[in-house]
Amino acid sequence: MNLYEFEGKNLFQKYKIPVPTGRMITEETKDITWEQFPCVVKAQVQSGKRGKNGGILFAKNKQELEQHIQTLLGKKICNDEVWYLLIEEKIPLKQEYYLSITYNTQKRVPTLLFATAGGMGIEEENAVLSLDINPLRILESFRVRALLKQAGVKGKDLLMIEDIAKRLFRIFEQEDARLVEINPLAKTEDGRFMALDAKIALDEDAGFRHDWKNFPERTTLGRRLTERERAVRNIDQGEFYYRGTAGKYIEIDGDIACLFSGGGASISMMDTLYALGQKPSNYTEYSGNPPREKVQALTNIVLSKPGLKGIWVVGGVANFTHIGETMAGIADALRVLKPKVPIVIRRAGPHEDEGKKIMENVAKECHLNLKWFGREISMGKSAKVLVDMIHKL
Amino acid sequence: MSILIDEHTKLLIQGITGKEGQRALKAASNYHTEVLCGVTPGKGGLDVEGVPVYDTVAEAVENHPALNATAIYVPPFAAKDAVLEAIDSNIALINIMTERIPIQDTSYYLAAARERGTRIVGPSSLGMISTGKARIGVAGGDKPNEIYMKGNVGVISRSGGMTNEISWQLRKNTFGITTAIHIGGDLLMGTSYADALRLFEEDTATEGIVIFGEMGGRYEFDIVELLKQGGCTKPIAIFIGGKFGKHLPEGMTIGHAGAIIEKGSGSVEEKEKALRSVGVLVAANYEDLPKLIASKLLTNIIS
Repeated sequence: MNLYEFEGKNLFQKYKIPVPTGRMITEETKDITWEQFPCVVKAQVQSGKRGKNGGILFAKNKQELEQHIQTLLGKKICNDEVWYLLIEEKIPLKQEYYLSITYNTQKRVPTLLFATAGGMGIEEENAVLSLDINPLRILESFRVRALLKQAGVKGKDLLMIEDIAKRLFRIFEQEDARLVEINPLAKTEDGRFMALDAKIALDEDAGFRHDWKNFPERTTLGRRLTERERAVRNIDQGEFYYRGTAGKYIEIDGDIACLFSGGGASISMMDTLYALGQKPSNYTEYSGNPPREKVQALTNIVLSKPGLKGIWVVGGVANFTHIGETMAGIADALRVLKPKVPIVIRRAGPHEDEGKKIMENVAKECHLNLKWFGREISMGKSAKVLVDMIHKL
Repeated sequence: MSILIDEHTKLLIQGITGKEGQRALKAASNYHTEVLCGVTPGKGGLDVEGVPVYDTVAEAVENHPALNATAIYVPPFAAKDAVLEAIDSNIALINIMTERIPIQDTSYYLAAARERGTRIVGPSSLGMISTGKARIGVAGGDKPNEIYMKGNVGVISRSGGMTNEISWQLRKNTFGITTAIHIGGDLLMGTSYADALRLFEEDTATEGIVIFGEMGGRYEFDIVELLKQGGCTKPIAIFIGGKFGKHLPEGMTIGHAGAIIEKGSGSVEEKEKALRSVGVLVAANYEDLPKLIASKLLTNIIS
């Protein structure tokens, strides 16, 4: 889960990393009693390029502040809807640094990154120094100081940045973050250090040992969840939440309904569909042998999208997913909805004959335009069959 | 020949009393693999289908000194400890099936394994299968012989389902398999493509390697480095899924740290270009993998 700047700064404060005085504004709490000028108004979006895209504005007085709030709130910055703003005191600064910790996938350890030239465009900077952290040991202060020294940091600054780096690592460990980043880490005109921005990504897989339920709703792919997306999320809740997953769904502006099995197959087949010049109405994937009811619920939602011109059910030769059971779930939905558009299924694996029979029966019963394939053709080939069926209509 | 597991594999299953553990026991036993015992803390003294259960890995090893591999089927919150316990008992190969282990825990046990020279495959692995010799996990389901035939191709996959599908496509094109391994799709993994390629390079029976990759991460670039250093001289064909990502709104990769470490965006196109530059055959569709590897192999007969 990616945290907004204001949420990240709350964590910084908890771990005593200095941040500017600030105030959060939402659409509901537009009432502002802010008196400190000049100030900065920052759109709370996930993109790292908001500064270059008008997401950060400065105000010299109350009138300008109100104007900026009007300009930003509810607008899109970097393709992301702005639901929250952060108003902060403007900090007079001498220099900007860059400091972060994330996982280095090559070495498979946390790595601390530091640069003396922080701010926008840090990715192009070559002067970023790194320090790999051995997970079996502590982050030793002398190593941090050596890194800072190498970057040209001198005097008391060495100790002050070292202190912030160690606090940042504590956040990384104790809060189960995948990324903690301060960019810029500012040295103020009066010689203090302060985090002017905060980027934190929490590891959702560690959710069982944290209380993360209180974070407010956030955008996904730059927008609110659609009704269908919200509905699909409920499928994997409840008593049997752990029995297979059927809760992955992204609504897309296309017209081929997709029901994919397995992560790898689903992404490959999305590629195939686009390569054939078609556009899916959704991305969805069920896996881990979900029960019939879950698959039925998912199918209902996938097929509820208006304007569909084809339905594609596809997966590889399954290892252990019960093809009979999952097909029964899809058949339950088809029996009620009786879609008129072409349907192509390619599925194989345990109990595939049972699955085939279920589908042939429902096709006959409801006069569906349905073709079943097993392992005799590849998944990609079945996409071509569907496209041909659509064109023949 | 094969990599990682063979007819000498003697397996322990950690979490053997759970549903998944029991399924794994059946899958291994049905495919020439001897499961000597299982471990579930608190259930020592019981047995599952005649296989004894111990409270600790140390007891398991003491009673069955031949153990040389373990499959981890414990819940995510207990996984780190289970892996560390196996490392501590000097089990040479640890295959972690548990999904959704916190990345911090994975980073920790991977470091511990490196210190001791323990081989880890996973997390989030479906397992591996050495044709005709042994299997850990459920690759191939209840009819593995319909898909896995002895041959000369090695399979490495980041997707469990695609491990099977690709092996099936190879079979359809008269290729057999030495070992197929699902390395798992997590950000941090014990055995990367490059690690597995090093093993296949040493295996005399493997003449070519087929890989299923996915967008994200930078493990494909490690293949490029390996080949530049001459670490794998056998032909490799790869398919990387996930090009459709560019059709979706800008993703939620936040911050700059990933991009700085990764030196580039790690898009599918970027990976393909880098791989082609070192002679890897890149497939536009996964179905093309058998054809591509065939162009580089002298024999493609299922032995």
